[in-house]
Order: sequence, then structure tokens, then C-alpha cells
Amino acid sequence: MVHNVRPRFIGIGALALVAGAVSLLVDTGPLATIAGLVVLILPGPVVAEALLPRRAASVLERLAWGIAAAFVVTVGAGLALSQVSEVTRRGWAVALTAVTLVGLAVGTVSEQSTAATADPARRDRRRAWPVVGVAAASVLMVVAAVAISVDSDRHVSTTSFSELWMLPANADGAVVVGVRSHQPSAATYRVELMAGATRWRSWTVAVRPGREWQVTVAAPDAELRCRLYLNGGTSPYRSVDLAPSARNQPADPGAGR
Amino acid sequence: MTTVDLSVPRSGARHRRPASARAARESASALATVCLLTSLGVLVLAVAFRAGREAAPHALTLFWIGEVLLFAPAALWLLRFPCSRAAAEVIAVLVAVTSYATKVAYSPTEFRFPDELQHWRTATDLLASGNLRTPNPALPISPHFPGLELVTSAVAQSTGASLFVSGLVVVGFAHLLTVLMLLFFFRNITDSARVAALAVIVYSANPHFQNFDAMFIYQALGIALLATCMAASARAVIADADAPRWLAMAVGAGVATIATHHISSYALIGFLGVGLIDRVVARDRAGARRLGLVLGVTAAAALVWALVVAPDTSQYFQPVAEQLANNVTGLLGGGGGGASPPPQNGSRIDQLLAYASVALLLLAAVWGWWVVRRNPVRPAWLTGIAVAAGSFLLALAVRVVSSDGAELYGRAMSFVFIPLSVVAAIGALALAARCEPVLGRLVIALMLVVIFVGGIMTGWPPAWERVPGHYQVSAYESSVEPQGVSAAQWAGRYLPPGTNIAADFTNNTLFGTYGRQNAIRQVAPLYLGRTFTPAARSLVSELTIRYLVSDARLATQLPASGSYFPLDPNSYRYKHPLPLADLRKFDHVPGASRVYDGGAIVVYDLRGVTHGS
Repeated sequence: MVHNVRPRFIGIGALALVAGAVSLLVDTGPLATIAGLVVLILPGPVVAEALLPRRAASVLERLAWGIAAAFVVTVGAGLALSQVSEVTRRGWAVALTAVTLVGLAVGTVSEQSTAATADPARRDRRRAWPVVGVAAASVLMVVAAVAISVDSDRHVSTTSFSELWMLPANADGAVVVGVRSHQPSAATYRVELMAGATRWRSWTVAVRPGREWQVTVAAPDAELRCRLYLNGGTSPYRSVDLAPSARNQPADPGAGR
Repeated sequence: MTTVDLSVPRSGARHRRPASARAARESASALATVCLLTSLGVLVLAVAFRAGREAAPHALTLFWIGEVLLFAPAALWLLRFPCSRAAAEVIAVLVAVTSYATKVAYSPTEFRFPDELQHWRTATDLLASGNLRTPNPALPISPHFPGLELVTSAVAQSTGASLFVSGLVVVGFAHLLTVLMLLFFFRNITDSARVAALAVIVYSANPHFQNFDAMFIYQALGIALLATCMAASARAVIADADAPRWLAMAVGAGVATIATHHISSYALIGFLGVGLIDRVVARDRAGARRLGLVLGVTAAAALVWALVVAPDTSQYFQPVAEQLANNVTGLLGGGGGGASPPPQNGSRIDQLLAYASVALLLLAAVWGWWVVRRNPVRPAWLTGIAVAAGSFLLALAVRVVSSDGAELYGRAMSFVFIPLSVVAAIGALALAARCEPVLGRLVIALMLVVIFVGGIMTGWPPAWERVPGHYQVSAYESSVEPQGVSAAQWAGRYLPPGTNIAADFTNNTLFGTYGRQNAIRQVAPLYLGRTFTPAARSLVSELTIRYLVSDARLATQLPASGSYFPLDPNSYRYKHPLPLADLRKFDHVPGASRVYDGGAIVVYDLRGVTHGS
């Protein structure tokens, strides 16, 4: 029996080590994703197999205990990581690979001390086909339901809008003026900056949907007003202002960079 | 042989034991039909949600057809056919997958519920900083119970998936685990796959099962771990040689529950305590010793966690406890309790079905309790669980007495339904066994459907957003749309994080999460009234409010949830929408700067206001 057990455990151990190493060395791309998935998936089933008896448990029951063990060890590993270092991709790779290897070691001892379970009798494959058909049809309907919802949620009608802002950029009196477009197509904006009653600066800019335009400009020590005109319109579409008292302190030292 | 499967119809014992291959085939093909009909229910619900988004009038009709398809076929099958362990597992997976798919179909592209966004913020903080020390003003207790965020960050960081997709995957598996572990637990304490499967069906009728408990919130994983601990503990009690293995799993799951969700861990301790008493009364020394071990470790870990890791837990619950105490005191003093406000837009039929649902649940549970009590041999933990089902009465009392009763009742049901669903399932099967086979099954199935429909009516989402649709004011998911999200994201990019900001009900959540601001809750007086009074100026100064969000859409509708603001003195008393002039009065306040204009949403910088005071 030991001869039967060891190759399986060695195989899983090798897989865990390779996936852990790839996760440590590769940060992005399909290889990193696959390795990350393996690192993530292995500990639960391995710990469940090591810990729990296999007698009289259905495949689903073993799967459920595997998921449960995965949650438990991930919470535990995460708490340990947050205490001793940082919760990062590399941290997870090390912690979860270690859990898998320890689980395999415990499982090896456990398997040697308990009787192996006989494989369940082979099922009649002809009887399985209708089950597969029903399961496939059910899965198809559930997937279609989610697809319909994603599609309708993305296309739910929303109002087109644009955003205008003006913030103090630094203590020297410069301000940041910005525009973000949520129009259905590229829009042309005219931005007017007034200092008191004087038109200080004006810009005409084209902004594509989802993109923003921003400028940092020095302005005199007066009340500033900024107006946004959309697509050649003559009445202000958006307006913001900045009192002199608000210009002493920038909202965010990073604004305008 | 211990059994509580009293579902054998008196005149129909043939249904219990499939004497022939024909009966087995009939049962299997009926189960296949159940699978297809239930999946069809999800499809119908997705079409209903699509119709809701397009404001089609038939959306609600489709919704109810889909919901009944989701529930009734499996219930009818269990009342009609004997149930093997494998069939029970198929039904449990069906319940878990279809209910979770329904939740995903409701909000498939982003997290929208306030609690989900609050946990999203904790998770983003964890991903950004690599530690749990970043405070989350939107839900300060969340980083102290980080189980959900840790698992989600493991998925996101290991696979490179987005936080939203990772969250959906984690909660999906947690939802599946909850149902399967409850099935295993129910099976162990009743010795019956049929009762266990029906108990799972009844559990799915709890008001929060389909939506709230399947959200990206710590309770979703908390309940899954709670159920795991209970299932492993139940196995440990009845196991012989394998008891230490099950105990290890139970203790692990118990400690993980504590690190994940406060209420789940307290409920777990309660259920374990009930189990321990059950075993002590039954003079089962081995069982008592094993449950005592799990209970002892779990309770000690919970105490240490509350004292060392999450000392703010008591502070978190304090307002709820004080309000409940005030309501009870008021009731005892003859001044009346704090009865919950009437559900907005909920029809009279909604309310009638909700009452009928509670009455039928009570009937089934009382009958089930009587059956358990009458049964001479009871499996371990069953009597204790049957007694624990009495907590339903306590939850009903809270529902009636507390001004926050509706919410507290709904939240409690996720836990109260664990024991309640077992006794109700036993009661329903016993009642069916007493009736004429066909009619009895139909009546009991109808009763279960009423319980299920009543659960939806008292649960989440509420009547005004039962199907997703267009924007509504102060309406939780229905208020989260691109304008609000974009304004909050602007604040996250350009305003200093953690700045005190005033906002209405919805923007409070959005600016506190996407915006990474410290959204203050006591801000209603700033918005109410035509003028910016000295008292309002003092409030800005006292609360050190730097920015204020003004959403003109508050002037277009009454608040769906009853409140325009997080702590609204006029909750449920609004007769007209807020005047636009009240919301935009800051344009004329000396020293206030209008720094952001997104159309409906405007952000004011109030620093100049306090400088001038």
C-alpha cells in the first residue's frame, strides 16, 4: 500500500513545489495565473484528505470538506502572513505551498495507519449519460441566466454627463482645472476661467468618453469661477468656483501632477 | 435504528421503499425534471431582471414565476419520493447554485449594496498595504474580522483576477459550502437524508438566504464556517475511531469563524452550547466531552479575539443594544415599544403573505417539535436543536418591540433558521404523512411555497427594488449608478484620503468607499432648511467637515428607504422631496467653494466657511 500511496503524494508535492516556485518568480501572465490557481486549490483537498477519513464519503462530500479546509487554511495563513510579513502574492505562494506540503506529510502518515478504501464499483456508463445531459442542460440555463443579466446590466440606459472640477494645486495660488467626459461619443468642451470679473484663461478641448483633461494654471488672488460649455453651447453646462480662503491650502498635494 | 423520518404516508408505505427498478426510475426522472425546472427558474428570473432594467410591466410577474420554480419543484419531489443521500446532495447543490446565480443575476457587474462596498474597501486596503492595519471609517470593525478579505485577496493576488470577480468566486463557494454543510449537519442529527434535504429547502426560505447572505459581506463566509464547524462537530459526536480528526476540523472551522464574523461566532457558540447540554442530559459522556472541547476552544478564542484583536466589538453593538433596551423599557413602562415603520411601497398582499409565512412556519415547527419530543429515540443534538428553534419566538418579539425590528429580525433569521428549518421540515413531513397522499403533499407543498414567498417579502431586496431597475433616491442598490460612482472616484483621486465629508444616505457609502473619505453620519441638519444657519456652521466646525456632497436628485423623489440621510431625524415622515434650493444653498454661503460639478452631484469645499466663523 505504501508503494501505491507514495507516488501520488510525491506527484502532488512536486506540483505544489513547481507552482509555488513559479508564483514566486512570475508575477503576471497566463503562467502566473495557472500557478496561482494551483497554489490556491491544492491546500484544501490535501488537508481534507489528510485529516478526514475517506470511508463512505461521496465525491461531493469530499469536495465540500476540501472547500471547507481551503477556507480554514487560507484564513489561518492570511492571519499569519499579516502578522509576520505582508499579505502579498509571494507570501501566499510560500504559506499555501507550505500548508500543502505539511498536509501531504500528515496524509502519508495517516494513509499508512488506516486501511485504504476500496474504489467504488464502476458505474454503468450508459446510465450516466442522461445524468450528464440533465446536468449540462441545467448548467447551460444558469450560465445563460447570468449572461443575460450581465448584458442587460451593462446596457441599462444611463444619463450622459460630464464632470468639471477646480482645486487649489499648491500654496502659491495655482489651481487645477479638470474635465472628465461620460458622453456617448467624443465631445468638444470650452473651459473658461474667470478671476473676479476678468476672463483669465480659456481652453477648447476634445475629450473622448471615459477620458479626462486637466491643466494646472497660475491664477491671481481673486475669487475664481470656471465654466464649462459643451459642444459649442452658449449657456454654461457645468460651473465651479473657488473662494480665496479655499486657495490657501491645496486639497491634495498630488493634485495636478 | 434511530429515525425521525416520519414522512411515510399511512396509506402509502410503497413510497418509502422503492420496491422496483420502475419506482427508482420514476424517482430519478422526476429528480431530473426538478433540476431542469429549477434551472429554468433562474433563467426566468434573469429575464425578469432584464425586464425590470427596461422598466417592462411584466417584470414582477416573471419574478414570482421564477422564484416559485426555484423552490416548489424540489419541495414537491421531497414530499413525493424517498430520498437517498446522493439525491439529497443533488438537491442541496441545486439550491446553492440556483440561489447564488439569482443573486449574481441581480447585480452582475459590480458590488452595489452598502455593506458589500464597505468590505470592498477593506479588501482594497489589504491589497494596497499588505496588512490589516489600515482603518476603514466606512465600517471600522471590518478589518478586525478579516476572514473574507483574506480569502478574497488570496484569490485576487494568486490569480490576478479583479477584486469583484475574486469576491464573487469566494462568496459563491461559501454559499455552496453553507448549504452542503447544513445538509451534512441536518443528516447527522436526524439520521435522514430526506429530512435533511427538506430542511435545506426550508432554510433557503429564510429571508436573507438568496440575496443578503450571498453578498460580499463577512456574514456570507461566517455562516459557511459556522455550518462547517457544526457539521464536523456532529460527526465527531457520533464517530468512534475518527473522532479526533473531526474534532480537528471542527476546531479549525470554529476558530476561522471567529476571525471572520462576530455574530456567526456567537451563534456558533450558542449552537455548540445547546449541543453540549443535549449530550449532558442524554448522559452521553463521550459526545459531551467532544462537544465541550470544541465549545471550550471556540469560546476561549472568541473571548481572546474580542479582547485583543477586536476590542471595538462591544462598541459596534452598543447602539443596537441600547435602542433595543430603550424600546423594551418603553414597552414595559406603558409607552409602547418602537414598532418598526411600515414597509414602503409594500402592498397589503405582501404583508398578508409575510404574516401567513410566519404562522405556517410556527405551525410546522410546533408540529415538528412535538414529533421530536414524542420520538422515543432521538439522534444526538436533535433535541437541543429543536429547543433552539424556540429562538424564532424571541426574534419575532424583537421584530415587534424594536424600532429596528425588521432589520434585526431579518439578520437573525440567517441563524435562527438553522434549528427552525430542521423542526419545520420534520413537522412538514409528519403533517404530509397524516394527510391523504396526493392532496396532503400538495397542501404541504403550498404551505412551504407560502413560507418561501413570505421570506422573500420580508427579506432583501425590498419591494421597491425586488427587480433591478432605474435610479431611485436612497434606495441601496438602486441608487448606485455611474454619476455617483464617478463622483466618489473623483474624490478618491483628488481629495486627501480620510477627510471628513458630509453626504446623503447613498453618497455617504460611495464617498466612504470608492472615495476613501471619512463620511460623517450626523449631517442631516446641514441640508435641511433654506438657509445655512449658525447652528449648521457650528456643526461643520464641531465635526471638522471639510467637504460636502449635494445631490440634486434628492429633490426629485421621496427616499425609497424612508431616509435621505444616514441619521435622519425625519425618517419615514417625509411627505415631499427635499426642495432643490435647500440642497444648493451652499452656492450662496460665504466662504464655500463649489469645487466639483458632475451635474446632479456637486461637491463643496467648506474650509472657508469655518475660517469665517
